[in-house]
Amino acid sequence: MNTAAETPDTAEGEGRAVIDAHVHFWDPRRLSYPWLAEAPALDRPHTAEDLVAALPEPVEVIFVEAGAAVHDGHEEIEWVRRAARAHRWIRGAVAHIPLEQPDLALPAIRRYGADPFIVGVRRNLQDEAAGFTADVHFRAGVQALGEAGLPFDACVRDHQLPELAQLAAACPQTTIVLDHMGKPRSAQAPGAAAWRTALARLAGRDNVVCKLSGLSTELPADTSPAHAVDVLHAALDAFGPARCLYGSDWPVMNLATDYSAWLDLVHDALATYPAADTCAVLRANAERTYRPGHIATSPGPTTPGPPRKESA
Amino acid sequence: MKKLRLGRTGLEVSELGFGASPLGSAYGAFAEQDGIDAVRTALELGISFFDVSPFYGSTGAESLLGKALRGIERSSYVLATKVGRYGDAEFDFTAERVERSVRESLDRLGTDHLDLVQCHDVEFGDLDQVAEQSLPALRSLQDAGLVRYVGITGYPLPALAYVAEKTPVDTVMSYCQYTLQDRRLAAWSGRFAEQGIGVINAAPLAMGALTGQGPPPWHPAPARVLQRCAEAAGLCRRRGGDLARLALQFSVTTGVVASTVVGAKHSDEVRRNVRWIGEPLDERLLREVEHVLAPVRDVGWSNGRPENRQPRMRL
Repeated sequence: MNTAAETPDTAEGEGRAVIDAHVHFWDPRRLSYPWLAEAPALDRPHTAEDLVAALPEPVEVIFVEAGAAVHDGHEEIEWVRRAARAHRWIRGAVAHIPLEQPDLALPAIRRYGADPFIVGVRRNLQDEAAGFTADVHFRAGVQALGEAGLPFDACVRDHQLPELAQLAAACPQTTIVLDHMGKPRSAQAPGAAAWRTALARLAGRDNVVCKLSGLSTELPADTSPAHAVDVLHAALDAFGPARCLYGSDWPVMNLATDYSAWLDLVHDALATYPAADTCAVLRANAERTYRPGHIATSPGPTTPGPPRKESA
Repeated sequence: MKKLRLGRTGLEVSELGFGASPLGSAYGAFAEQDGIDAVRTALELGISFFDVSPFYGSTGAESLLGKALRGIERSSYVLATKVGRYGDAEFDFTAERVERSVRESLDRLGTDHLDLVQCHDVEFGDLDQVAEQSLPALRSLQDAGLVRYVGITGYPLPALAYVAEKTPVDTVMSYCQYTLQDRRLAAWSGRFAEQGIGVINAAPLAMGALTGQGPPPWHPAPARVLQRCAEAAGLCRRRGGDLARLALQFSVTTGVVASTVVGAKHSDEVRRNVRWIGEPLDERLLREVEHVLAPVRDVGWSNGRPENRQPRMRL
């Protein structure tokens, strides 16, 4: 009897929890986030517990710096580090460093490079003037990240993709993670074709990987799921499934969608790829890119229950 | 009857648990003596985990279970009840009510301690109140020796996970989500286990949907789910089997939880359930039934306060 106990149900999906490589947490009561003033719908605490309440299934996450005020950058990381001690599924953090300021950047890179909880660095670029990444100090900072084994998260808009390709060429030792696929616009909007061309060119740099994230808030609200899948396919085709990572951009995503709908959409986009590619995008590529060492990995949905014991 | 450790608690529970909600007549009228016999039969057959609530039968189920357990060695069974739900739309998760509720349950159940007390159907309450008031109140009663362990129950797993992430709990019980039709609990059980939480599955027959007789009229599942379940029941009948048997065997023996709680109000049902889990699972029939149910796999319903459901925003 009890034959099925030896063969746990594997019919509906092998494997481990999804790694969401792009979530934010913030608490405006604790730290200052100047940009939230322009996003009143998001201007309240969004904590790890709040994320859990929105999940269709348990996931592991990489925290990405959430634009805390300059003087709060260190506190932001320490706050998330404390959260990660209570919530072991927070696997690591991408921290802010002002890479263009060598006096601040170089000590921070040294410190974070030795900190197992810090798995990457972001210096948000999306509102910077053209040419910002050509700055000699900034480039030295990005190169130093590579030497320290830290990937650089690049949050840019579609028109900045050619500039990012130049940065990637100038810093070949640094893994560059393109956030939100470079924020593509609607297929109908002017510039959409340019995004595809620029993305393909950027993908030609083998030190660049691409996060499948943040799309719902970029596309117009009336975008069809089929079109969104088409945009995801453009990124998957350009980079290949071995260089794409799943991310949600929670809670910013809540402006346009919800967690289940986005994860379903990414699954839909991956349906035409082999199952191994789905596992790579939803978990393995994030492990490889960020190498989160913080927490023991969690068992997946098919892990057998507690040890069974015969009664006396 | 196998016994399993319930998370990090010191409790060991039988793999089949006795759900006492039918003792409150939720599933139709019954004779009191039949209920008492059902409890006694369960004990004789090795079922040592009993789960009840003051909500069931407006405290009637607790009173009857207490009567049935009178004279039975207290350490021979694990007794679980709940707080916070008292009627179809009557909820009170305040610390004051929690404490009073436990004392009332102790009286009705005729015991000086409860092995497990769970906040009942938390999605109908303020989840933060459950985390910040109800559970601490139960921990105080634990310190006082009236309660051994504390847990939460409910339907939406993310809401249960939210509470468990905010405030440590010893157990989580959900229902209808580790069955032939719905496996969503399987994905969460690993996360709960990491937190040391004992996981309990109730309603392996999906509140009657996964039986030959079919569900009661109040069943909340969408019609297309119930339609597929009825097709599965027909298939089992044609194969000379019984959907309820397959459903119970699947939930109990494929093992992602410590105990599977199934309701019973008659000793014949208890005997039948115990016999079923000792018989081999028909793997071929299982695959056929899974095929029929595949279009509605993991399809459930919305339960509780709107704010406790997953946000569904689209601008």
